[in-house]
Amino acid sequence: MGQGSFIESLGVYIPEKRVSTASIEDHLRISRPLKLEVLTGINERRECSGGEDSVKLAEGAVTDCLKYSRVSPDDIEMIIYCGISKYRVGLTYVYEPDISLLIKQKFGNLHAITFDISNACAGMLTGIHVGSDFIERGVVKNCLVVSGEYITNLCRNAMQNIKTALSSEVASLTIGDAGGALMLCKTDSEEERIHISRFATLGTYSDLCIGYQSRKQAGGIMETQMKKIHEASMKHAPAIVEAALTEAGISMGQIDYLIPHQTSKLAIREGYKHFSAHFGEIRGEVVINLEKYGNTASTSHVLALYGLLTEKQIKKGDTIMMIAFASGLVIGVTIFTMGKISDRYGN
Amino acid sequence: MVSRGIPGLRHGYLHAGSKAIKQCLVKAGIALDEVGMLINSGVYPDKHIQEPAFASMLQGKQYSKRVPDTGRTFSFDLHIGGGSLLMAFRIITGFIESGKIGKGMVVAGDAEPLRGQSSGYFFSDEAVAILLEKGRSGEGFVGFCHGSFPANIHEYSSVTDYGSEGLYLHIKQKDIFLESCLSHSGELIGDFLKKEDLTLEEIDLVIPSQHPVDFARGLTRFFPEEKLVILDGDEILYSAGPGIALENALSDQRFKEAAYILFISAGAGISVNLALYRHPR
Repeated sequence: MGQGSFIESLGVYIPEKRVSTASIEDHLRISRPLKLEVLTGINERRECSGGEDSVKLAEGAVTDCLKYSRVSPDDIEMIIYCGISKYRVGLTYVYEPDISLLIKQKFGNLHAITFDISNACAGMLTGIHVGSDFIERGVVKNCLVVSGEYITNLCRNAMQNIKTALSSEVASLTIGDAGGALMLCKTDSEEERIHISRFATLGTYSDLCIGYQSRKQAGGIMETQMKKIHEASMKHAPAIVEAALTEAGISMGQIDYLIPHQTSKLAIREGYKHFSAHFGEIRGEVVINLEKYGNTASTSHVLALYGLLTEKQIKKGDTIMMIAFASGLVIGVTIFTMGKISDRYGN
Repeated sequence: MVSRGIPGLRHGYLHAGSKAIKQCLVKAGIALDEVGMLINSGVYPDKHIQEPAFASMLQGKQYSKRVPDTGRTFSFDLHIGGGSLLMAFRIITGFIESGKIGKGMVVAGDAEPLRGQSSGYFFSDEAVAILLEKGRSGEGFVGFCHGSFPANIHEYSSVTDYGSEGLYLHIKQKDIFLESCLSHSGELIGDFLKKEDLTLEEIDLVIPSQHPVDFARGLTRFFPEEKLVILDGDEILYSAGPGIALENALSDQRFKEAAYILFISAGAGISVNLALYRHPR
């Protein structure tokens, strides 16, 4: 086994302002209640306030990550920003310059290769996929993958637009804001490394969830055909995941934790049943943290992993599978074994 | 393989980009599911769509209910000031070298996201698709270089906000931007060629981005004009510029006759990207 990469540290930034799902539902002008909390399992989510935006979320997550990392800001060799949202100073959306360059500037790094990647809720896992390849080939020694999802403006717009329970904007009511950052470093160790990162895009389904900047309201709109996208995900995911496990020489029975993209408890539980039907009994624990944070888009896996680390639920040697389900339709996995970093969290 | 798509009557990058992809695949005699990775390096998605990755929508246009996508291609969007095309080359080349994919494709292009809702947007509607695969007998990309210079970060910006005209795209470029791009390009070219053990004179052909305006011609401070692919026309080419310059060099044989070809792009940030391509002799 040659040079690979491993997750050396991670960090998050969670806005302080809490918004309950109940308060969101109270503001909806529909005749029949959605019972959103029951449907999704989301009790509350965090919302940016006081000047927080995508860049501030990302910077906050990087600051947290660097607290745990042995890599100094000067020594970072690659920075990949992976957020869907690129809001800076309110709802100003920044196409150029790249957010990754703003991060580089903020932390005083002089030499890192910087670029932005966008791949819906699979953004950070895509960043890991690309960054790992650069590390494995020896081009860089480390890579900082970061995202700052300021997306609750979509929820606020949806609250005004939704007229019935069948509205295509209902999924927007599940989202929350968060920043995530993850440091990848090179390793020769077989005991702590990313074993495989494999993704598929099924473009036929690319129109099932579309998010865009609204012309009528400040901020974004997201329109989702929830049932169709869930069905498409369940139809294709088991084979894609199985192919990745086979290629990595790992069985589902060896996975200690499964971290799916955090959309709703119902969707995750249905996914679990589907996977169990395909793979047999799933020994590993399925991680759900959306009751506190909602769907935080590309940061959802890192947020969940961070929770496991700080609550000391995860230990060195545990094998973790992060599963992407994202608009596009993007399905895939990153499977890794937890290393010594578990000692540095939750102390 | 390089192919070009022009929106025509049906405005939009989705239309032009998917046309470019289709033409590229036809030229190569392959289907998209033989391409392991598709990267969109166009800056502006139609109607300011942020999700899904525009690459997956471009991918989706190649399929239908009758011929659905089997998921053998992984696609995503890539953004880097002025240089997404070259960074996409770098990423795809890496995945091909790692053996993770056999072929990769980059698509780049521009169309005004919302007609009439922008200032400073002067780019021509264009799209280009470029297929990469493992080179035969040592032909291919042999080196890449990237530099970013955030001290110049305020010299070019492209943002949307909400004013009296509603959602509006504002592109601003300071007068000094061109000189900064050229100056930083020069620094990087010198360092890069030294590392590759090459002199300026050993570069036979230079394929630059065509933006900022006069950037390609401005490189005559480093290379003789006859070695530069400068597209003189009324069009202002942005994301697709280096790809269209490559198409130009392929069509008049300059690319095939050159031993060493240097791709250069510079843009917002300021970010500079270089890629060295070799035809073994």
